[in-house]
Amino acid sequence: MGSKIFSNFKFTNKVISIILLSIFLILLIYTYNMDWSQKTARDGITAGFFPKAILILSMIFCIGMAVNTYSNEVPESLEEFDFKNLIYVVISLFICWGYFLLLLELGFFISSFLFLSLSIYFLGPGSWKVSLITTLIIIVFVYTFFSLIQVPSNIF
Amino acid sequence: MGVFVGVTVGALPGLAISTGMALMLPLTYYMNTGPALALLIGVYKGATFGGSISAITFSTPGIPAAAATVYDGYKMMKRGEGRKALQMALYASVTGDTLSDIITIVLATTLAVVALKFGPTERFLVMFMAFILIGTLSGKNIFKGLISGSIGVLLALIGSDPVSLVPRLTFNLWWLRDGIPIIPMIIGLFAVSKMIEELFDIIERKRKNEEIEKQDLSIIKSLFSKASAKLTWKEYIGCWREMLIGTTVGSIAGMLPGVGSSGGAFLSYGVAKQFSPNKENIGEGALEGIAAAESGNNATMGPTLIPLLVFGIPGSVGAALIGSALTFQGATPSPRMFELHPTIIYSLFVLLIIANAVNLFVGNIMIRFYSRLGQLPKYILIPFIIMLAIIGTYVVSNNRYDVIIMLVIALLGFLLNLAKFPTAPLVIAFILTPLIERTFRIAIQTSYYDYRVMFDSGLSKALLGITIILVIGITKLKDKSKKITGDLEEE
Repeated sequence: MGSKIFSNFKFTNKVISIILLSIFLILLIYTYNMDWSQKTARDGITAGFFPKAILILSMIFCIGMAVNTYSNEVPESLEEFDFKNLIYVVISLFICWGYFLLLLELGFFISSFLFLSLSIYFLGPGSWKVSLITTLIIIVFVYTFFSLIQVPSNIF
Repeated sequence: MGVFVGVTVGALPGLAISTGMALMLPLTYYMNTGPALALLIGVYKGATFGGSISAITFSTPGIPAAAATVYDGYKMMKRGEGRKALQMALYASVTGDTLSDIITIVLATTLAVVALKFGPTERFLVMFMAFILIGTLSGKNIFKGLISGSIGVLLALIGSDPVSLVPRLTFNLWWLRDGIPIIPMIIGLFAVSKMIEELFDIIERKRKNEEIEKQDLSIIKSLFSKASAKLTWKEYIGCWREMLIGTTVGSIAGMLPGVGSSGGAFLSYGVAKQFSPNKENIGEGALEGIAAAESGNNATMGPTLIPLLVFGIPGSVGAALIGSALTFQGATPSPRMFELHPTIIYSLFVLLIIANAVNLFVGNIMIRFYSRLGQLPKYILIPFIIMLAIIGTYVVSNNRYDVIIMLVIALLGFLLNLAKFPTAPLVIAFILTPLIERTFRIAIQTSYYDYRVMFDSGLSKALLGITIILVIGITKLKDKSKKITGDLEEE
């Protein structure tokens, strides 16, 4: 039965608004419980005034979204979206972070060469020739571009 | 260079104007004011025209604002009149843009004098109304726009309180005490999140073993053959009514925060379809349709800077990025901008006009090259853009935490795009928040902590009335234009 409920589950605008409402509520509770939110500045406004005000406003907008005419619609991009695929998004962000760490350790040329050639090889038709030639062209182009602007950075 | 980069960005489906401008923004940090503004304005204007190239040649709008051009442009392309369609798009874009720039120069200087008479309470109200307008007019669902704007405000509130210096919403992370810097925010939201979406598309296709559809290149090869007809002067002048409609509607749409260039194009197209003498043929592959849509989207470019220069309110993502570049140069947009930085303002005006001439020149010379650019494979484009994004984020302050922030914002942007939340209100609200907070604090102090002053004055009631009228009027007009373009899509 549980799997049936899950297979019928749809990310309608109402569901999205309830998720957001919960996040904003947690943030509001967090803000209320923090010491900093009670500290008053010399103009008489507490540090928590603006965060609390906007969180309450956001929650009102979420309620509006949950009850308006589009509430039962599923956003087009979510209709056939497989949430298991979100793992690829996270992996790609970690690969970006990995490239950045390599950039700091190995410098622009080696790290960019590795990042570009491997990405183009795996995303493209799988030809090393295409991947290496394209990588070299891009690296020369980007280096010339940043050198012309004289960007002061330790990665070049 | 800006126009060249801009048209390239526009001509490549999958890259938005904001992506191109976001990638160029870190570079302006190391430039003088003139070249920095020239670069961004060039990208801004170039990309708006560039979007029409792939819309006409491949029926794939390079940018959302060029979607209205597809209806007539692609039909002309199929009839073998692609060259004429591309030339009309270029000339209509430059015409609409130039005329709207003149409107911008005249109106901005006039309104700046009026804006100086506004006190902190009025300024706060104007900004608050702009926030509501941006939220309600961006996207299909009003509440999604407003929630997106609220997230932008929340992100802007992260960091130390400007008066008490107490850290707010930092979750005890010391590197958030200075708040979220604008460059990682913009690059994460508009460049990297967009690339993740494209990456996702490639991965999905690979998993399903789908072949990437190859475009028919023979049609492009014949595009510039001697046999293909050029646009004549008579045909160009014959579309004056549609260009005038595009310029007028686009300029008004540009001035209103939140409508944007897509809104400008569709509204102009919708109005032209109702009032043009050749209205029956618009949508069937008529030059008039291209003229209205292209002059309409380009005419929003200049006027979108009016609220920025007069009140410090960016009316669109492009204006927000130009505003950020101005802030890097020490000229934060505010009502006193004309008084404090007249040289920068007048350079900006001159650059707006020069960029149109460059757009015309580059467009004419390079149109053959640009029309093939839509063929550039995404598996090259994605790693290239991600590399530029990471380097661009890091080189501004050589701070590794900026890259972390950028990647987290990219994930947020991806999720928001997935749930169809417009991201423009988020970034505009993010930029507007410090200004709103400052004016609110001053207004409250000058009114001796009487909150009623904010909403009791005649001006506040008038502003509220104007906002409601604008929201209802534009939503109705948008619905009407959508109905017209929806019918065309069905056909």
